[in-house]
Amino acid sequence: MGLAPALAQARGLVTDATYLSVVNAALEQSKRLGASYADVRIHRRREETVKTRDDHVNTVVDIERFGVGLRVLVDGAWGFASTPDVGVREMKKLADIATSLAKANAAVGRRRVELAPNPAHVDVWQTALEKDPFKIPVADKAELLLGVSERLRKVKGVSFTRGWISTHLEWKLFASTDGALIEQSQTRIDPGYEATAVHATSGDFQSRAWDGAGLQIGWEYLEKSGFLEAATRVGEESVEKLNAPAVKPGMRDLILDPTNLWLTIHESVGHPTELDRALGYEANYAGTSFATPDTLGTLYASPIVTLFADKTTPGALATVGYDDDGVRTQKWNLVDKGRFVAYQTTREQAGWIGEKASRGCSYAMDHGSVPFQRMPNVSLQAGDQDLSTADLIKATEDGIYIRGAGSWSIDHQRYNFQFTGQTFQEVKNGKIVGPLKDVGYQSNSPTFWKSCDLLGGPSTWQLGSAFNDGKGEPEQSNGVSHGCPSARFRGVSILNTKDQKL
Amino acid sequence: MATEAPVQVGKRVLALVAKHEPKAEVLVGAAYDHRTHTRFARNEITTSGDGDDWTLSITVQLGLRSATATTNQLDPESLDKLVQRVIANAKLSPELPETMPVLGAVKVTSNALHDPGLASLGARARAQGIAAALEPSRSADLLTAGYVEVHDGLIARISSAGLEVSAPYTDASFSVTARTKDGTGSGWNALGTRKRAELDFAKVGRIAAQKALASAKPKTIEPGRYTVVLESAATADLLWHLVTALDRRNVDEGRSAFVDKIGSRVINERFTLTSDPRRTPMLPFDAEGSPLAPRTWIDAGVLKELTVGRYWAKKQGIESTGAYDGYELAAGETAPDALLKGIKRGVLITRLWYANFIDEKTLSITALTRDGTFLIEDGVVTQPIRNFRINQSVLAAFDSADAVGNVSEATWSALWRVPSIRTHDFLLASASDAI
Repeated sequence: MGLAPALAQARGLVTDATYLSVVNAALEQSKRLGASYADVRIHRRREETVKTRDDHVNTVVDIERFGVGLRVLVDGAWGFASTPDVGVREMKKLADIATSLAKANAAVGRRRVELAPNPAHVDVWQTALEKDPFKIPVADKAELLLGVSERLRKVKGVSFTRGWISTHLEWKLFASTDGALIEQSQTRIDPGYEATAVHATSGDFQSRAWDGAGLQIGWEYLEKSGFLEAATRVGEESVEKLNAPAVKPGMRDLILDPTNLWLTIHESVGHPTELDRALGYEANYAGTSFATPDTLGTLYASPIVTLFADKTTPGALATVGYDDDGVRTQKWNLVDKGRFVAYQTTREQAGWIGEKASRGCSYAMDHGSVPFQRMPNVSLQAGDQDLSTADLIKATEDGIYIRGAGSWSIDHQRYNFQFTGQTFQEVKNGKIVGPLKDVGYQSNSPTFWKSCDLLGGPSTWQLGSAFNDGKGEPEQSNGVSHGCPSARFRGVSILNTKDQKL
Repeated sequence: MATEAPVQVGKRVLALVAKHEPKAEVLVGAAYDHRTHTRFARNEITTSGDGDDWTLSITVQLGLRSATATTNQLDPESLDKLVQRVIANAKLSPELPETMPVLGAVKVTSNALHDPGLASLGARARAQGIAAALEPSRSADLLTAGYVEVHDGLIARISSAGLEVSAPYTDASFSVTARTKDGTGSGWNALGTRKRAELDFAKVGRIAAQKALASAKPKTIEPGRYTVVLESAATADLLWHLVTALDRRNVDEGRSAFVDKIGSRVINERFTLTSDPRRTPMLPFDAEGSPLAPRTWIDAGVLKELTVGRYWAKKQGIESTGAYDGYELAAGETAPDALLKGIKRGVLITRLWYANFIDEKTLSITALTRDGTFLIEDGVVTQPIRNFRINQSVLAAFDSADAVGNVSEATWSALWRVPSIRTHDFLLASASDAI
């Protein structure tokens, strides 16, 4: 097929010639068996994790999965097969299985899969990083975590600690019968720790976790992020939270720090704007969406709110050069000045709503998984004025300022949500007057976003991340980030999580 | 089928480690799994797949220094490289004080977890099953989505100290969500089983369709505390959160709802919670190869036992339990219809969704009702109602129960057998517009 010379002219990674033979064999065999389209991914995942519990290391583990997944279209229906045996000889059997499944599905199906046109890219892409975290010795990672633990444990009142550093590699070689050949490598780090304080007499216990996000970046992140330096403050805040008064339920204004708001964006904007959900393709598991196609153009949020999808945001977990349909990634608005304007789509889905091209949201978590629509990084644009978080607090008469992500839950059409957080500060007459505990906030997605009346400026904008966003059957896990400024929301229902009342 | 038995793969690993590091203790987990699946939505198949894979986990211990690596690449060259990497990581690892000696030979009671009939369920049979499940929805003009997944595998644990346990298994799950085309009704049903004969596609589809039709055009009732009947899937959702708190170490450390509660009544005396590999189709050993004996965690409402790992057990001078993934909440004596009797005004809940802890001290969760929520008036279901968010202590829900269904059944997993229950003062905290 002449793929190898094309890739050799691309910049960056160099593919093992053996793998080129494998993908060529898979595609040729699929075409021979009647596939009108086929794509093949050789996919390697590696994850190394070091964990501490209190004053010692309790886990050192290295996980690797490698294999090849083949997806074919025959008579307008999909078939998929996978194997950990990445060899030319195995591709005949794999193509047999995949095309047989596709033919069986085509025999009972009515709707033909139509893929939106897409240029056949030949390219390489990899995470921009300074220090490969897989080359940092386990002992160094353990030493850093034990240093964190020592600082946490020195704080009077901290009873227990835990810490972790996971490093993730995802390498894949994608090829399709359209002529695409794309090699990509993503490196991510998931660091964190948590202090728990236990009250000696009441038996209450409260935890406080580090607010930093997992990112697509090298080891330099841990050297520059203040990971170690923040430990004492995190420990102190766990004790402060334990001894804080419990919140009184009621309607209050909320100032959400980016370290909290990112998760609310994920659930109340990221998932509702997935086209497969909106049309019922996820009804049996993740659910559907209130943001149905007939609501395109209507108000989703207040006019100061613009929410965008972006698989090119530097450092974000879902950032990559090309999706698993071979589509070049991009940035676009989902909600523009309050109005719902676009969905997340794949090549298969674009035509469902009359669009001519995919938004590049196809992803499969490993070689054994079928690619389908997964969430890109979905972020809230910073405000026009460069307001600080302190400015938002100063402008608030009666509210609660929440930092860090806690418990989360949202209904299967993404209306009713409820979140907690890590720290809660009561705001009165423009000033923080003291900490609170047991705070939860509950709202309805459109109501909540329409209540947003103040946005922090670009200086407050930062990323938060989820490594394990679940969707699909069989369930697949996706890493995704959400950037946002601090923001204020008016009149949100606050509950006491320990004392459940109406 | 696997081209090599997992026990043999494990023995290859033991030999490789012995060659490079004779003094190392080694635990190998080797599992082969063949998974097939078919997914459907909007009344037709959307994807189906067929894949097999290995999970080979190698733990090397050099005194208290320990490292673990997991791979799916079994060729001699890959394995040799991996073994050398694990040994190197173990040598570079700091001491892990919680490291325990690998287990030697143990006696495991075998149980029948493999059904050749289920193992051979192919794509055509899955499609036929789905067609049978969809028939009630098609005739009622409903939109359905669903999923069937079948596993056929073999799992083993082998150690350098003589441990050698293995078990073949099959496993299947099937679920259907049916929705009315006007978007006002939704119904769901699911089952998990290890046996082909129990994989009743038509029944799952029929119940989902019935619930979708019955739940259409729901009325709104006010949030509040209600008497509720939780069907078995909803009960299982609550129970899962109770089970996660059955951890001895957290109790001993003072961060649990069960601090100072061992031997005390923690929920209503109508409930007994057990794990028994002879009754529930769970593996008879855990990830370390520990044999799993029958356990009674809660006996007539009294907390009798908590799970405890080998390290914590040794530190506390008690017996370790092993780690369980199968549970049975014993059935009561009340027929399903009789659970509704005597309820002046209450709510029937089919299942819960997106449950998450909001307070672990009180074992309180938040979740939402979904796919079939109905008003009960004067002992009968009278109309569909809109969904709610619940904020509820799991302990309080099980403590306030006054009737337990007479069938303990598997819903979303073959490993959890749970009855329907009736309980009181259940907080339906806020309305959800989701259908």
